[in-house]
Amino acid sequence: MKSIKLRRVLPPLFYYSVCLVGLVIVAYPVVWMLLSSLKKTWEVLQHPFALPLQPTLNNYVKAWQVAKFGRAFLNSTLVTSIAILGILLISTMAGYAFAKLNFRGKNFLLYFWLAGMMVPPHVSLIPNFIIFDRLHLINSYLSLLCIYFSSTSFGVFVMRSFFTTVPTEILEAARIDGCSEFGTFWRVALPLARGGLAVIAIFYFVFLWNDFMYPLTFLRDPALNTIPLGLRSFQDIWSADWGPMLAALSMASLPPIVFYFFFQKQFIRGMTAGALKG
Amino acid sequence: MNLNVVSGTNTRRRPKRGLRTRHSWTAYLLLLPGMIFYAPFHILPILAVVYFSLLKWKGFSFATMKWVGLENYRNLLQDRFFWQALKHNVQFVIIVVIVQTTLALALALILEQKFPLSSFFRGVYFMPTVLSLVVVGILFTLILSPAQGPLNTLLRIIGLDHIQPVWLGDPKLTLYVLMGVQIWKDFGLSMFLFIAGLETIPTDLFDAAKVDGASPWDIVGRIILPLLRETTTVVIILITISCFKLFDLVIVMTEGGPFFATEVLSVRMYHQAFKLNRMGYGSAIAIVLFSITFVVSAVQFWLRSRGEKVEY
Repeated sequence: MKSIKLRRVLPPLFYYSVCLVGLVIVAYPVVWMLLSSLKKTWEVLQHPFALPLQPTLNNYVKAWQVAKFGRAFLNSTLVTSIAILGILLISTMAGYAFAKLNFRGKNFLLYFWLAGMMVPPHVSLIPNFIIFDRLHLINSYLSLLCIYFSSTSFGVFVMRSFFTTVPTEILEAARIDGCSEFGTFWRVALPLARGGLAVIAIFYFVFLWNDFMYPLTFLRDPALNTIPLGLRSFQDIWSADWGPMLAALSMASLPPIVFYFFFQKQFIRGMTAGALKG
Repeated sequence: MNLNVVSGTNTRRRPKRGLRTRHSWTAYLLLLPGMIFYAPFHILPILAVVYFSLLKWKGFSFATMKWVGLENYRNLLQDRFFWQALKHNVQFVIIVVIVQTTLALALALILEQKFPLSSFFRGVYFMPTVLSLVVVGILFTLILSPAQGPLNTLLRIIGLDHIQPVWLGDPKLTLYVLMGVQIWKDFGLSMFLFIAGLETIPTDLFDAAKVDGASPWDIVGRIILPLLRETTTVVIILITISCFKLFDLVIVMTEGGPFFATEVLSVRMYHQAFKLNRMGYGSAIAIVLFSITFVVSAVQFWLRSRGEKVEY
């Protein structure tokens, strides 16, 4: 009964070959980027598929110092962390209010806020530029932060869902025990909705760290470059020198890849939720 | 975790009056920080862009604003490059939707089998999603570079010397190359939506079908696909929206070239507004973009609020 055996072997074999082809197509460009960043430029061009002969971090040093990519890296770290903190604060506060408090105009305000997710960012780009121009915030991180602090619809939505799952009885018990309204929120409800904070932090980390359009439009001074802008000017000036360029690309990708490696489940959860709602 | 708690404001128990007013103040205070940013920087611009689209304006002093009514829209209708950009978006949507949905569904079906290493494969397939489009764009510009790029080198090594495409310089080819890169980056997300959809199908359905003598193709075609209809709709709509949002990749890889062959609506808007200072005309393009994505999102919203659920 050879044919039956073959039929039993065939699917796994088929699965593995499909998956392996996929693996090469998806992972190899990234692996190639990381490996090539350790080579000299001539080596990248002459032996693109070989392992680095003498792995060197020279490209990283060159990109960090000479091409001023270090500056962009620090700028991005600064902007991303401040923005995430602000967004977390705004979303938890508003999410709590929408989930656990009763007030006039609640439904209207909720839909008003969530409607923001239906509008692609390009649409409001021109007026945003004009507004920041009039406020003299072009070429300042304040413009970026204002935009990021205004993109909270997804965060509010997530925190509202998480706070909804916190039993109201617990909050009422806290209030009866003399806890202030703020204390109830901060010390009782928030710890119970921690999962939402992770989802938001991850979703916004990926969005903010990689954001290109807003910095491109609102920043002019190269000293303010965030990573995507830094890469862009790299592309213009250093396009012939692949070594440092690949090092810069690797540095830009390592934080998300490393985080993803450690928090894979949370990433997938946060990003699929973001895709569904964002 | 459950993010599906859409609508319904859990006001089952209405608190006493006094409590309610006390809550009101707290609530408004809690909403204030967000609203301070949301209203002027998110909502106001959407209203402003409608107004701007009726102006002829270079964006400098407010005194130079000139009301032109619908002229920008009339020009838009006669602008060959606008129609071309729209066409590129539509081509992008059609092809990426077909290829990415099929690919993601096929891989989801395979990886749902839970063989050794399957979760490793899943994890890797999702990885490009966390990368920046700028990184991905530049990386592929290097990989596809005609003379020195590894891809054409590979083609030479395996003896295909005569096939050395100028991937990003050939007007007939470049749009498709961009589609490929977009799919490379994004299919993992669609795949996970399908996997999530598959996990909601009870396994005893398959067992029952097998007992009844259904072939694997029957199971896929008659059980899985109909049950995944809602997930599929969501995936298709998400891909459609992201194809209309396409911007970073084009700016980084081609800037709309060669010869406008990859110019899409968002890029045209950006160039018109910020390179040529045609704020009114750019705003009119933004309105078109907005209308399209709004209709698509509204369809999604409508479908979802009819009560189907996607669990993950």
